Amino acid sequence: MSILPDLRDELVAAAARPAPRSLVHRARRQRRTVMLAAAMTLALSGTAGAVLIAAGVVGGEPTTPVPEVRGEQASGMTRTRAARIVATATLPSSGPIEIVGYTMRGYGGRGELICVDVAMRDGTKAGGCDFGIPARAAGLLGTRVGGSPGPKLAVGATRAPASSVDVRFSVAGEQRVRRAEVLNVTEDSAQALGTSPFSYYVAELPAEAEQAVATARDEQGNQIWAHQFDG
Amino acid sequence: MTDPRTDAELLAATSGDPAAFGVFYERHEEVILLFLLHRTRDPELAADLASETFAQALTHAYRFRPGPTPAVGWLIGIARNLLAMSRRRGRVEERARRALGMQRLGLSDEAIERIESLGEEQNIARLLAQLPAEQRDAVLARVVAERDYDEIAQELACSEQVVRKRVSRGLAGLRSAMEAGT
Repeated sequence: MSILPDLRDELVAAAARPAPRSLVHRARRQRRTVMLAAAMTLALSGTAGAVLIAAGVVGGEPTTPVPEVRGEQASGMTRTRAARIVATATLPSSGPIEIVGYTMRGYGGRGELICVDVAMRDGTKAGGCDFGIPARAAGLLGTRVGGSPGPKLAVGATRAPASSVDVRFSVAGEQRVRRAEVLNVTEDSAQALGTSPFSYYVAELPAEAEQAVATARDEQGNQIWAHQFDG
Repeated sequence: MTDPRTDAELLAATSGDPAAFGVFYERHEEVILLFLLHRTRDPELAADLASETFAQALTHAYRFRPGPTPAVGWLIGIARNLLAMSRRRGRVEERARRALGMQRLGLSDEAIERIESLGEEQNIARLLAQLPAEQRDAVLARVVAERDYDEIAQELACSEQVVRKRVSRGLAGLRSAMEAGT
């Protein structure tokens, strides 16, 4: 039984209310402006020497804007670096994905949070934020925000350069292993986040997967990073 | 029936299922109130701070990801920061509650009594005694004495991750005992 049921009800009611007008609308207007400017540049000057920043390419804006978290500004959080695509890939089940990085400051005054999200075409997102890369909180199992149900995702950052990442997991007691998609984030993209180059892995696991452990190895087969997922 | 979802799953589900945050709140309500009551000795102030703590947690629900710090540790961190800020300013912060459009909480005498009963030393000591020794020590060191994880790990000659797990399991055990009324 709740000690303060009125508070619980008030929180649930607050969670149900629409979020205040967010950066989503502003981001969409900015993206259209960038795309229009890029198209005009191409039309006027041709492609030789033109720098085209577009959604869906590394260095460009994410195809799905990263919305402001409800109450983010009111809570003192500020975006310090705009969201940019740091890597792209195509997964067997989930299709095209964008690895999106951005930074924030303000929470707890402990410095700059680096956020890395895996964004999918259907609006699903997975990922996390932490102080520094590889993140101590790297790795995520099963949490997909929005979008349609699908495989569990094991995602995270490792030291660079990772040549391979294997995710071992169990399904109904049976041990299995799956090789993850490994994306090496370039120096330019990492610098844009205020950090050093890192590798990022994404693995699609069965929905029933549990007790997962990701192990990253370099070209010589030496283990350079490992993460045990909760759940 | 107890909700089987993890804290991370509840927070992630909140945007589409607001009731999920209600489950998350109920899961951690007593620990946060107890933490704040221990430091303020004032049930009304503890309730006011707890209200803002969970309001801030709601605004950041999307950002929480499972990792070394359990959700309750994350909440305690928010509560601790709010308490420090409130002491400096001489008033309880309300920004998150205002941003969410939350009504101000009115406390009945019964609610105040329920909060006060959390602080009964006999109750806490009895609940803590039910935990395995290593979990009890970790909870006392981290939650009551407010020591850092790395400091506790050094003293206990184990990794920080082990300390975090002991605190997480210890707090989960306290919660279960409170719910069972044992």
